[in-house]
Amino acid sequence: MTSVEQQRTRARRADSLRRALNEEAALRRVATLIAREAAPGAVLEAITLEASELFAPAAIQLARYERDGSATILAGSAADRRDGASSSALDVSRVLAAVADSGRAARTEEVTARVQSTGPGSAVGVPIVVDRATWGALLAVSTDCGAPAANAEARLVEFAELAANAVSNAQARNALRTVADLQRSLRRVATLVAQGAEPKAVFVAVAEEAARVLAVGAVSLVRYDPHTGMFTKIYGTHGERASVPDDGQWSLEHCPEGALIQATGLPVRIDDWTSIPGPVAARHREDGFGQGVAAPIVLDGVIWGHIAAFGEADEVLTPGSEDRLADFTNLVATAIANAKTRDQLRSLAESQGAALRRVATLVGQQASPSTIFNAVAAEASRALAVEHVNVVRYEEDGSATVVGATESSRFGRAATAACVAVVKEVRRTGSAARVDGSTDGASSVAAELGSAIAAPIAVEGATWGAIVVLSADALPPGTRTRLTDFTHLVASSISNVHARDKLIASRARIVTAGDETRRRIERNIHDGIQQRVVALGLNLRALREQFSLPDAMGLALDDVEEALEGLLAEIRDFSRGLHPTLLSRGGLGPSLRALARRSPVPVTLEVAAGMRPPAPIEIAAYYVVSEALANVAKHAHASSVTVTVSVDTTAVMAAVADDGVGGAALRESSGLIGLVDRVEALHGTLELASPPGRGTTISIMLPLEPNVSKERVLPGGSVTGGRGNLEVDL
Amino acid sequence: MKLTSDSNSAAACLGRVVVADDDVLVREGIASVLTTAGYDVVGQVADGTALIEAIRRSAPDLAIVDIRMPPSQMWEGIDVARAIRREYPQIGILLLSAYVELETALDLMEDGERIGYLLKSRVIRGTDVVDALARIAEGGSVIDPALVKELVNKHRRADPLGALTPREREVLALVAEGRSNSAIGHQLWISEGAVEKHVRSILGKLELPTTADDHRRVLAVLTYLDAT
Repeated sequence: MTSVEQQRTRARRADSLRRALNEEAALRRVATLIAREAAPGAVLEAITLEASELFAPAAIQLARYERDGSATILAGSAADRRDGASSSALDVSRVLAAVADSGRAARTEEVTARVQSTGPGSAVGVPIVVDRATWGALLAVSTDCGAPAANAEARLVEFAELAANAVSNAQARNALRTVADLQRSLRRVATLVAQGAEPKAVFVAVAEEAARVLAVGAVSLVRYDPHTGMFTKIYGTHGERASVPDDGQWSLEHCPEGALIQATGLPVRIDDWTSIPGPVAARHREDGFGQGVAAPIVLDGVIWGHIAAFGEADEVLTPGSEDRLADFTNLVATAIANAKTRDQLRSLAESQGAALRRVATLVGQQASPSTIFNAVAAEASRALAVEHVNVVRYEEDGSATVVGATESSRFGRAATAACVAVVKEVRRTGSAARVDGSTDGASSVAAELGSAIAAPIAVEGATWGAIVVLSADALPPGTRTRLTDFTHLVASSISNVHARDKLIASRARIVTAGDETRRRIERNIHDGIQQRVVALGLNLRALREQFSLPDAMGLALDDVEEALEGLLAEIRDFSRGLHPTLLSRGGLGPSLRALARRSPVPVTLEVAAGMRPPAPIEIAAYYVVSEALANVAKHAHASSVTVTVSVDTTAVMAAVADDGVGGAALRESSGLIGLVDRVEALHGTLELASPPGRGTTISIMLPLEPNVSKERVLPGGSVTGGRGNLEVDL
Repeated sequence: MKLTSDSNSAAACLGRVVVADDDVLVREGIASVLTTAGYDVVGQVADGTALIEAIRRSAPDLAIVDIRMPPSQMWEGIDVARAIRREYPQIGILLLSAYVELETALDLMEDGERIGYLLKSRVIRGTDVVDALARIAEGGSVIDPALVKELVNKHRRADPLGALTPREREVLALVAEGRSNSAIGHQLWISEGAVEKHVRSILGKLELPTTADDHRRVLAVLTYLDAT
């Protein structure tokens, strides 16, 4: 080896060493930058610069591959930019493509035939691999004819790894920041939800936060109505740019993302509006919207609506945007559910008040006790959300009677046993009692119903009765307290009912006493006066037959006889009005036909009576028709009158309708007012419709079970349902 | 119960009668009228039970019965008349009542002929009761003219009786009272043939079936008047 050779060798070694040292220093500098979490752009720039120094005169370029397969040069050496050699640009793109395709290093010689090359120069590229994917490439491009050094790839790879490191770090930091950002947004919305903000406020916050997190301008919160198939926009962040204003509506076919969500129930992503038909897609294209994502809002397993976010035409929504949107939709669903619960609580409180008011109204309207007690049961059932409620009255013989009950299906023996147990307990202690599976020990009861609770109804210091609640589920705490509200209501209404019952009973007594008096007078007239007059007439006749009288006297006595007969006819008419004797024998049909025959106004009579109602009701119906027909004859100036009477197992209905002048009123003098007493004493109703010039109609309804006659009294402290909900041998 | 002495037994007896009325003065009065008219009053009773007993004992041809008798003073007469009709169908029965009701009349007529139903007040004047008894004894039926008048004069929206001449209306009323053609002829001073002609015309106009049976004719006419 010559000294020149030795010197060259030495120089080469020194050069190589220096280059190695320089490289190491360059790599260390870049690594330090990365460790300091410098901005990824700065790191990549530094890498390019350092490599450029080392690889000079070759130019270094750092490229990132894009989604569409193109590559973007993020950083490059000044030499390359200065020269701007078009010939090498061709090689560069070929090398870039080769790296992207293979994920390995590539150089010009491999990708292009030298002879076809339009100019001198060559390029070497190595991949920058982030998360096992080819993120980009690092290139060394030389403008002279010499090929890059054989070990250029190996040396470039070290820089590429640093670049990959920097990118990966930056991405991780980015992801972290995004998550933190999202969570801050979600926390803000969640706080609103927890504070019980109105749903609308939550919707606005959700839309704004989602827009911020996804870095888009347009977020819409949309409600879907499955019945109409219409979407309603609740709130949108994009104001005047929105194609549909807030509260605006559009149909399923006009909302591609909504339709997709309804179809799949999953978050959706629309990358390209050009392929989607319909006016909305057209408008989106027109308005310059880009990618869109949407996520369903699911409430109680049903798609309540969705949130949609739209980027600008040139924006790329990061992968997973739709999933981040879904995090918001859960909050929206919670807010709605909370609001619903609040509403339910409020309406529960209101409904209890309303329930009490409704019952109070019934009491005020003088409804029958059974109506009131059934209403109490129904209202308690609704307010407490339990199926079976019974209102029970304690009898003097130790039994209890169901005086009001919910319309519910029958329940079994164990339920009855539980019911009897609580009812007995309430009577014994005078305070609320509860039986359920755990305390009762009877597994059959536990299996059949969770709880039976009874609360006492105290009237005038005594336990008048109880309200019993039976539930297949365990009754929530507080049921007893809320039940007590109803018992107070029942207690106060019972006092009213007592007073009113007394009033009705006294009216009934008055009416009955009146009827009895009339019947007695009629009989007295019949057995007394009439018989006396008949006897007198017979006497006169006997006398006339006994003595031969002058003709003149005979004629005079003929007149007397005639007068006596006329007197009897008057007595007959008078006493017939006092008491309808035919009614008791023939019932409503024959006696009303007799009335109709004697009416001076032609009567069309329709009687549908398959059975005879109890006498007081029959008499009342008869008197109403009788009095009404008398009124028609006296006041109506009618040409005809229709009498309709029907009797079934529940009520007697009667109506007398004329075509006269109308204008009748229930005045003291009208004779109708007495009928009101009679009808109301039997818990019936009387209505008078008499518009001037359009005839008069009097209609009555007399219930056949006017009182708590549905109830069943049972011996020995047993209880049964007022509406057939219990069917037990006791 | 008191049995009347058979004072007129030698005279031509129109028939043996039992009188039932809870008022003794009325009872006696009726008995007196009947006796004077030539009937043999074989019993006077105050209630239904006694009436049945009297009938069993005396086997009368006729019974005059007040509808209202003890114990309830309501409808005893009707019930006892039924009982008599079942057991002694040959006995003619005249029921007296403070009121005459169509329903009761139809009820009674359904039990067959030789039934009469008159207002109590008819016993006062002239020959009303005596005449009715005679008609019943002859096998006819008797309905009180007051009831017939009520039926004929009923206010109807579309009155089918409007098609009848005044004379025909008179004849119709008498038919409804249970009178025979000859009796009607007598009363209206026309021949029996003329009555027959009127009756045929009436039945034709009212679209009622013709029948020779007076009793059936009464039922048909009453039912018709009730229904329209």
